[in-house]
Amino acid sequence: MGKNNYFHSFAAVKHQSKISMQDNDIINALKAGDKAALGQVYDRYGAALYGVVLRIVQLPEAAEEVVQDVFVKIFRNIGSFDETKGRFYTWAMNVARNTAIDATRTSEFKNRQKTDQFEFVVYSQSHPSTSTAVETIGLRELVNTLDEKYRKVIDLAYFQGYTQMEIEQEMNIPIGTVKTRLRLAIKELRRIFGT
Amino acid sequence: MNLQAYITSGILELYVHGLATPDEVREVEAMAEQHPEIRQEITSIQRALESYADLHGVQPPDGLKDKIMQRLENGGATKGRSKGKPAEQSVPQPERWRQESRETATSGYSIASIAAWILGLALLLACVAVFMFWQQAEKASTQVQAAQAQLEQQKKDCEAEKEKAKKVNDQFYAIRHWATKPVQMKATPLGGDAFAVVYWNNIKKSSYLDVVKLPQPPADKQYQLWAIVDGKPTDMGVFEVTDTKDSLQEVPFILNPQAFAVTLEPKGGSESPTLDQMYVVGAVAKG
Repeated sequence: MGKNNYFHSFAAVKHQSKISMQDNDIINALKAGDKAALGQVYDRYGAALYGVVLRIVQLPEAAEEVVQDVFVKIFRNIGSFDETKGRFYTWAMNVARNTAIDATRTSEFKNRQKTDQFEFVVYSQSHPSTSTAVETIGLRELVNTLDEKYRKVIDLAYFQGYTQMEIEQEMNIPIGTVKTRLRLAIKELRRIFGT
Repeated sequence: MNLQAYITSGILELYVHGLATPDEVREVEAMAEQHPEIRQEITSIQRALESYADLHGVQPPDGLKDKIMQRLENGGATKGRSKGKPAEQSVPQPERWRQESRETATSGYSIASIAAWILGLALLLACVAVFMFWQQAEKASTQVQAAQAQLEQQKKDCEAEKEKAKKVNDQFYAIRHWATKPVQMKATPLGGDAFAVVYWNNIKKSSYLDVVKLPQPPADKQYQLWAIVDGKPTDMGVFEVTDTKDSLQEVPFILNPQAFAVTLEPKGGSESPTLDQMYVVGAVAKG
C-alpha cells in the first residue's frame, strides 16, 4: 500500500510541477495578446473544460458552442486574472462552469433539452479523455475507491455548480454535513494526488 | 484567530467549491492575503480538484480547436448567451449569489422611450426571425445525425455479414481438403429418411457436423452426436436441427473414430446413448 501511494503521489507531483511551468508561460503570453497561447490552453485543458461544460449542458452540440464562448472569454478576460490570488486552471474552470450554467438558463436552451437528453450519456461514454497512461488509469482506480457520497458532493458543487441549498435538497443533508463531506473528500483526493 | 482551527473548519473547501456566502468569501480572501499558510492550503485544495477534473475530461469533437482559433481571428465575439460579466477571480461564483435586482419602473412617456419601444420591437422581430432560422438549421442537423446513425448501423450489419461469409468460406475449404473424410450417417429404421454427415479430418484435426435431414424433436428432447472409439461411445455434444441451416457445426475432434451416430436424448443430453433412439449411424471408412 505504501509503495503504491508513493508511485501515485510521485506521478501526480511530477505532473503538476511540469504543468505549473507551462502555465506561467502561457499566462504571460495570453496577457500579451498572443493568440497561439490560447491553443496551448486548449491542448492542456480542453478536455477538462469540455467535460465540465458537457456535464452541465448535456447536449454535445450546445457544449461545443459554450466551450467556444469559454475560450474566447478566457482570452478576453485574462487581464483580470491575478496569479498571486489563485491558479489558472481553477479560474478557467470557473469561467467554464459559469458560462455553462448561464447557457442552461436561456429559454432557447430549455427547448432543446427536452428532446435530446439521451445523447449526453452515449457521447461521454464513447469519448472519454484519451489519456491511457498507466498513471492515469491507476489514479482513476484510486479515485473510484472514494465513497459515492463524497464523489457526489464534489460533483454537484464543483462540476455542476449547485448552490448550498440545492445540494442540501438533492442529497437531503444539512450544510454542516456538506462541509464535513467536502473536507473528507478533499483530504482523500489530496492524499491520492499528493497535493 | 487560530489558523489550524480555521483550516480544519472546512470553510476553505466550501470556498474552493464555490459554496461560500459572499461574507465568507471576503473573509477567506482576507485571511489568505494575511496568512501564507491559508493561501497554501487553498492552493492545495484547488490542485486536488484540478487533478480530479483531469480524470473526468471528455475529448472534445474534432475541429473545435480550429473553430475557436477562427473566432479569435474574427474578433472574438461571444454569442452573448451569458450575462457578460467576466468571472471575477476573487469571487468564484458571482452569478450564483447575485440577487436579481429589478430596476424601478419610470413613469411618463417621451420621444426617447417611444423610440426605444420601436427599436425593441424591431429587435424582437429580428430575434424571432433568427430563432426560426436556427430551428430550421437544428432540424436539418437532426436529420443529418439520424442519417449518420443509420449509416453506422448499416456498416455494423455489413461487418456482421462479412464475418458470416468468412466462416462459411473457411468451412467450405475445410470440406474440400484432401484429408477430409466424409462419414455419411444413414437412417436406422427409426430414422425414416433422416440423413447427416460428419466431416472428419485427421490432418487438420477438425470435425464438422452437417445435419442434412433430421425430424424436429419434441420440446423435451434433443439430438446428441456420438463417436464410437474402441467400441465405446464418446459424447460429441447436443445440437439443434437448425444449427447447420446456413453453415456446418464444428464438433470436438477425436482420434480413431470407428463410427458416428446420432441419438435422441432428453434435453441436455445423456451420459451414454439411448440405443433404441438412434436415428442415423455411419461407419468411418478405413484407410
